[in-house]
Amino acid sequence: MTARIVLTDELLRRTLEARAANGVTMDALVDDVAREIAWTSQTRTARWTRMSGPARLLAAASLAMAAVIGLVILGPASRPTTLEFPVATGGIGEDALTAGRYRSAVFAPPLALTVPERRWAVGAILPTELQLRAVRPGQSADDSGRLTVLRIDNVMTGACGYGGNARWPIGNGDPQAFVTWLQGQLPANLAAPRPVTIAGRTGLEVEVRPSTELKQACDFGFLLTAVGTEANPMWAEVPVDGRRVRVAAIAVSGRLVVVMTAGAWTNEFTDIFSDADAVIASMTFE
Amino acid sequence: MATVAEGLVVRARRGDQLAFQALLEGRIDGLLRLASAILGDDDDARDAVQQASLQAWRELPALREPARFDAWLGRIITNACRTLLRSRRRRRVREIPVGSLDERSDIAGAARSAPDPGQRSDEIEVVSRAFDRLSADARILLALHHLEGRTISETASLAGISLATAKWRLHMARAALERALEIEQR
Repeated sequence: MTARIVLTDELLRRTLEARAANGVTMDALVDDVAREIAWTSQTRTARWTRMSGPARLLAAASLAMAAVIGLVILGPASRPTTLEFPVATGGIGEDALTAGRYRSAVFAPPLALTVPERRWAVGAILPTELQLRAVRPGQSADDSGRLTVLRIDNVMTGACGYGGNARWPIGNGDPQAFVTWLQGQLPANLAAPRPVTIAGRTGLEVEVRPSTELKQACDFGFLLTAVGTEANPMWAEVPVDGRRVRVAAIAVSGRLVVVMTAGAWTNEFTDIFSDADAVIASMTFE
Repeated sequence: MATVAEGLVVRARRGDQLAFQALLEGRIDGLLRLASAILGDDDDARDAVQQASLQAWRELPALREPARFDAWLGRIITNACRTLLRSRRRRRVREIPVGSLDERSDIAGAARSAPDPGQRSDEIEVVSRAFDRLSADARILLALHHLEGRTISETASLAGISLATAKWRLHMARAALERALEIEQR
């Protein structure tokens, strides 16, 4: 019988050393990079940041004056009341959204929401998923808070989805049935469900409590539902790695819609949740 | 007084490609080792280093303190690895044998005698497969701490997180690796 492996610091170090012993030829790599930088221009620091204090003040005053004049001449009515999200189907938006009300007809049912100035960027827009990524100074896109709206047509079953992908059995989008199902599936502690109202519809919300004793096999999240296509399979996941996550379920025209807010590791959950609350409060479904 | 490396950073920041190349030559081995350990794939590691190098070149003018170049480059390479891993994982589900996750094996009672070289190699292979199950962030923290020998404080700085968060996340990463190892041994 083979002895079970005991994970020691030494074994971990040797494993990482073995993985690090790669077969890449370094000289060729340096040459490749050198060739590429010959054609790549550097991002120059904005003139603004190089200005002296008084010059910066003067420039700021000029900009403010121009903004006031623009507002007086054009008036607030010149701004479109509803904007399309600035991405194509399935695309990723790199830039933070400017303040305004946005609508997506890609996500079904179509929804509209309002965002404040440069606090959110588009993470993904698919027929079953609309995701906004919180934008905070100095924070990487990979480690940011998320606000995700999902239409649940099917669900991943078993811990981490390894049981497979099955059609959601409750056809009428019953939030209570979904929360009960989630409680039975999710390998993490859930707070008691509480009533929630989103876009005029009542539903239920549960919060995933940070835990040091998660029993999960995949260590990145609970796969909740498939959101991609057969050719490009993707899954929406509930992070169960210790960060705070809220999952709210409502029924929209007989279909189950889930609104999920996830904090990031390196920012304040309360900050993300409070920002997300304002966006959620502005949501409407067609 | 500025070091040679800092002088090269200043020159590279002004657009001197040879200076940047010289900076890279002294560091690319370390970048590749780290990326390979995190990603577990030569081609991916090469892509990550190439992407990180180009990003560093493009954004170098924004680096205000030349002395911070290595820490800054470290963050760029770990971010490149993270992005690569996450984009890959979003499109794949690793097959893990389903079983009761509550089942715990008695690893405390496992044999602790020194294994022969062949067995050591097998162990490394199994631990490496378990490592592949970890999240990007967990891999990065473990590699920085256990491969590069960074202190928790340095690891926190490179990962852009607080010291307390780094301690907690390292603990979680290690626990996750142990769980993944249990699954690999079923």
